[in-house]
Amino acid sequence: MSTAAVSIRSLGLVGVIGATDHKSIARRTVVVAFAFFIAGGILALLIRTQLATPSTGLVGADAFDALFTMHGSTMIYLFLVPTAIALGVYLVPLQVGAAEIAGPRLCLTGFWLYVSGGLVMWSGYLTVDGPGAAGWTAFDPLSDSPHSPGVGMDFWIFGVMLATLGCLVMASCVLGTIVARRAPGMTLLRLAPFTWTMLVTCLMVIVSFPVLVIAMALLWIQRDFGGIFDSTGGPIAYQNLFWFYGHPVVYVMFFPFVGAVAEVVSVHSGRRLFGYRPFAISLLAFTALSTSVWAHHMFTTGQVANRYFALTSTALAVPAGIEYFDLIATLAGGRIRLRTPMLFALAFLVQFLIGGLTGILLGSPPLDYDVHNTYFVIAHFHYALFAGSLFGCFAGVYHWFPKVTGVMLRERLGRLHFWVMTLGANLTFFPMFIDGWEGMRRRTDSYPASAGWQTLNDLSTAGAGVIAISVVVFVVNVARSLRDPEPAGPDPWDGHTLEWATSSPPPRHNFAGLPPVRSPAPLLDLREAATARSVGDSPTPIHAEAAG
Amino acid sequence: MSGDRPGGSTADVEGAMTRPPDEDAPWQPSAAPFVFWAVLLGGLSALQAGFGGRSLPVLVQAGAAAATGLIGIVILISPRVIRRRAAGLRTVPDLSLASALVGISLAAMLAGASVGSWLILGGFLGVAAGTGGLVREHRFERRTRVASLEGRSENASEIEP
Amino acid sequence: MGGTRHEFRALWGVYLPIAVTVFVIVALALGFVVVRFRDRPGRTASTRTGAPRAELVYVLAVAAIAATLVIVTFRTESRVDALAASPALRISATGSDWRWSFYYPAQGIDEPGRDQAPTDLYVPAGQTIEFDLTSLDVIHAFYVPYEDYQRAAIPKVINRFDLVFPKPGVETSGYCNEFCGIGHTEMRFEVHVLTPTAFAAWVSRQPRSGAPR
Repeated sequence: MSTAAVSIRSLGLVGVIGATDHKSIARRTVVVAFAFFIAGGILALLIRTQLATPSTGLVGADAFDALFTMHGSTMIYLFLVPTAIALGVYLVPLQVGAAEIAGPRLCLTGFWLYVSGGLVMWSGYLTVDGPGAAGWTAFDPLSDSPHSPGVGMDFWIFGVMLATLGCLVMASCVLGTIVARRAPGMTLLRLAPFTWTMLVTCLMVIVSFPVLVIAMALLWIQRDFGGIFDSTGGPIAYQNLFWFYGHPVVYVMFFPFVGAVAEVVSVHSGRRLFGYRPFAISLLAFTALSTSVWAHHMFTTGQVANRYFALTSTALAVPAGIEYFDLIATLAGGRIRLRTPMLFALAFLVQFLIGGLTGILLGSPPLDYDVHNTYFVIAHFHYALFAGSLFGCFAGVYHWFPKVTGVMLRERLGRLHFWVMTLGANLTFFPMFIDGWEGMRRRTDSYPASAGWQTLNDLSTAGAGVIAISVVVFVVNVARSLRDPEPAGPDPWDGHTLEWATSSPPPRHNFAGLPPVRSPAPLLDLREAATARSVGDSPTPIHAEAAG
Repeated sequence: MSGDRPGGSTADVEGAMTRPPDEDAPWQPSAAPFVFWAVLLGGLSALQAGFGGRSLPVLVQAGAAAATGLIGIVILISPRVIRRRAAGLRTVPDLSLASALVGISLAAMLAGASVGSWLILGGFLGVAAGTGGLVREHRFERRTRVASLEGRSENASEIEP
Repeated sequence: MGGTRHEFRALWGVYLPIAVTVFVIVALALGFVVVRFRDRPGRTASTRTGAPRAELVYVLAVAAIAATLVIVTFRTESRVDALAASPALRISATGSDWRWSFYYPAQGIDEPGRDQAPTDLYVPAGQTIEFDLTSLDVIHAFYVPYEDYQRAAIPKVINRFDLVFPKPGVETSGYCNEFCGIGHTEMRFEVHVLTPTAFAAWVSRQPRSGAPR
């Protein structure tokens, strides 16, 4: 085996701009995305302050419209989607035993498209008419030039196009790595669970993200020249194109994190993922289905085949059920270590379920006719994306932080972060189910005092503050852990998959050598084989000095 | 941090790591996920048509099926395109400022559509410069790879596979 | 037609208990598993990697529940989206930035709405009313929480739906429920449900109008 003989020199500012190492690109993406998360979170705090009383009047109606537009747009286009893909950019080459991602230069270009997109979108705040304010969905004709004048809306459109293109490019590189750069012996059914979820995520990305880019281009042409959505069926055509992206994208923001949860659940209970094959195949079915449900967002338009989309949306329960079965069955019979990654993974399983079950509810048109566009929907998707996906993201962060940095995150601060965030998430979003059921509409800057919703809204506002505190705790944890490091070593958790077979952080070319790959858990295979052979020997650590 | 479970011995792991690559599972192109998706999506779009779906939504879904099917076919019929090189090196860059320039310049060109043609022009120049830079980077990489194969270069780092 | 209120509550009464039951079962299972299989000295993890038959039975059970929900949904939807051949009353509802206007074509009554105030919508109780809904500009939505029903008002498209208001004496609010810009929050109407006799009296008191303004 050749060994890498590279002197890793620190690249400095030039490296921040131009480094092509997939690990560096992923780290930079996550840092930028986290900054957007903070920005979007501040917007959320402003929204919650406005809604703390029936007519606070903290901001005017048009400013409020920009607030919820930019909050949703930032969280989706600029934070959670790029983070999900960046997780794959970092981990997939390592998990498949590759030295580098496929197309590193292309991946870097994608990163800069994404960053540019974020900056262009937010530069709308510097324009006279303000940023985009037509919702993160920008339905035509509302987003057309008579109803959304000003260049800020154009910047919003460009920002969405660029960020989406950037993510599409990066996801293509991840997909190419899975297709073409796997280590010898690694068949598709020996992929790590997380890599499987990235595979299906990237499939969704490559069919749906281009449709959004096209929809945005058409919207821009409509604004500047007209003639695209002017016909009778125009506005509905826009919605079909938008939601063909808009539904898969929420699964793009889900599957990588359920993959992280699967890894955490199996490693931290010391077992292989139970039902690996059904899990993998149901992932393919789940994602193909999720590209077939989009018009459940359009039930109340009366312009789509409601029954078909109700059928496919409800059918999602089946592959979702398979995943839950396999994850819980992995825990059963394991040796569960309740460290921070496992805590977040367990909370994900409980809280995402609330999001998923309310999703099944919304998939029934007659039920949707009542709660569509109310706070019930807001509660549903925040349970799925915040209390679900983001918790799964943190499970992955606490699990892989040692690998990325070589340093452990503090356990006590991690638990504090976990408990405060769990309290905040539920306090913020559960009352919204009740508000919405009683008819409180979304995207409104005030509500009738007589409706009696103020108490529920105050609970949500308090919860938002609690979430903010939990984010501060996390940042403090990261800062303290890096400043006063507790070295992690190559494999602090007794990992199963190939990323743990190299040093922390990995060297430039990832591996000095690879163990044989005969299952999805090559390191667990090695450990079990060695245990079978060396019963009676005194225990020794599995790794010697850091490889490479 | 292996807990109280006995771990493998160091010698075993190092022995595993330095053995030649395991060849018992021959490398195969991975068209299966794409084909699976194409079939499923195709069936689902036919089902939508059966439920009275209108033409645009059915076509978009069928288009997705066709696109994934096409990728699957490409993978199946041209394994040479993606098979690993049996011998020789793959070189990868450490740095590519040209790629960053191309990305940022494309963004500038797009924003210029609403800001002004000066930005479109500036972006276009950036794309041109970046493309030139990419060509240079590729040439340098090829020279380095050739030199390394001939044993002339000490700077090149080898990566396998 | 029993009315959208009745249909919604009946369907909700099927879905919600099932959802809550599923949640409780999964949460309890997780809680049990986490406590029972916690890491303790001397425990070894099970090496079982699959249970195909159990998983298949489970999948079929989930599919059966999903199929039941789909069937119940389809049946309810047939009733809710049904259109009567000859409704007792027709009302044209039009959304425009940022007010509602209603026109009763058979009676020749026009309710154009006022600036900064909700438009009044008078309807008779217990009769099938056909609404013909459209918009003059962007997409709005006609939403009456009391009826547990809403429908999009799309420009150049007429969306037809039927509503029954079961009980007279109800005074309730209707709203625009599709974000339509700066006046979205205040774009409302007030529904007054009258007995058929009172409604006929109201009709006779209104000035006649040839066409909606």
